[in-house]
Amino acid sequence: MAQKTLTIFLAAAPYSGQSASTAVRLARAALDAGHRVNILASADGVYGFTVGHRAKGLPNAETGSRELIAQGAHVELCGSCLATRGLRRENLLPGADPSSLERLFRLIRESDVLLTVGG
Amino acid sequence: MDTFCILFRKAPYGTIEAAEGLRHLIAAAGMMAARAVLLDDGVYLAKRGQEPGDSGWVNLSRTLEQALTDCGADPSCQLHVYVHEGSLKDRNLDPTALVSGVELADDDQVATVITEARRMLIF
Repeated sequence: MAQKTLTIFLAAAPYSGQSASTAVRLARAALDAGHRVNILASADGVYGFTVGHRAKGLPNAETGSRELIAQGAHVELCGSCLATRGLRRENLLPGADPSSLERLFRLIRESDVLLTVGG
Repeated sequence: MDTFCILFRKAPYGTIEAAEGLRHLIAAAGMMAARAVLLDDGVYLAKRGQEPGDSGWVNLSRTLEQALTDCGADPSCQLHVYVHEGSLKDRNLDPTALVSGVELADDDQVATVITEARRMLIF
């Protein structure tokens, strides 16, 4: 099977619904199958890649994101969305870097498949 | 042609989606052939006469109209914004209430724009 590049545009916040969790599961499945995965988190989607979550009694989104990055997912976060929310680099998971719209569209162009996972 | 499409489905101001979609559309138009389809409550984005006042929101319909005007003056810019006729009718909105520069599209035309797009984001 030829390796493909899946890009997920993630605008859903963690804990507010199932969307962000589903995106992580989809990404994990694609990586398991040998594909490349980009995650471009935008709007409230950036909260899934912050540090210090204290989720109890429900799946911890930070842990899921850490595992995804360790598995090889390429993660970029909308820079202006971070600024809007007062999120700084020290608030972000290692491997989840601020990005730009120019980078976003370049990654989209280089992808075989683009999925939008909204809020 | 490497056409990129953004689908607007949410009304402006109630949530961030329309503003975010518009921001991405303007950026895309500077880089590639960009299309937007406004349907369901997304058609309200193109409603003329919005007055967000001191709410803190930028006037989104005016921003959309300005983007279309700016693009029209730039030969390298390829931006088309389609408004779904059926969604307008469902909301009793008259096409004359829309900002200038947008194009009306029926079901078949919307389907064509979407299927011809190589990439699509949904807001």
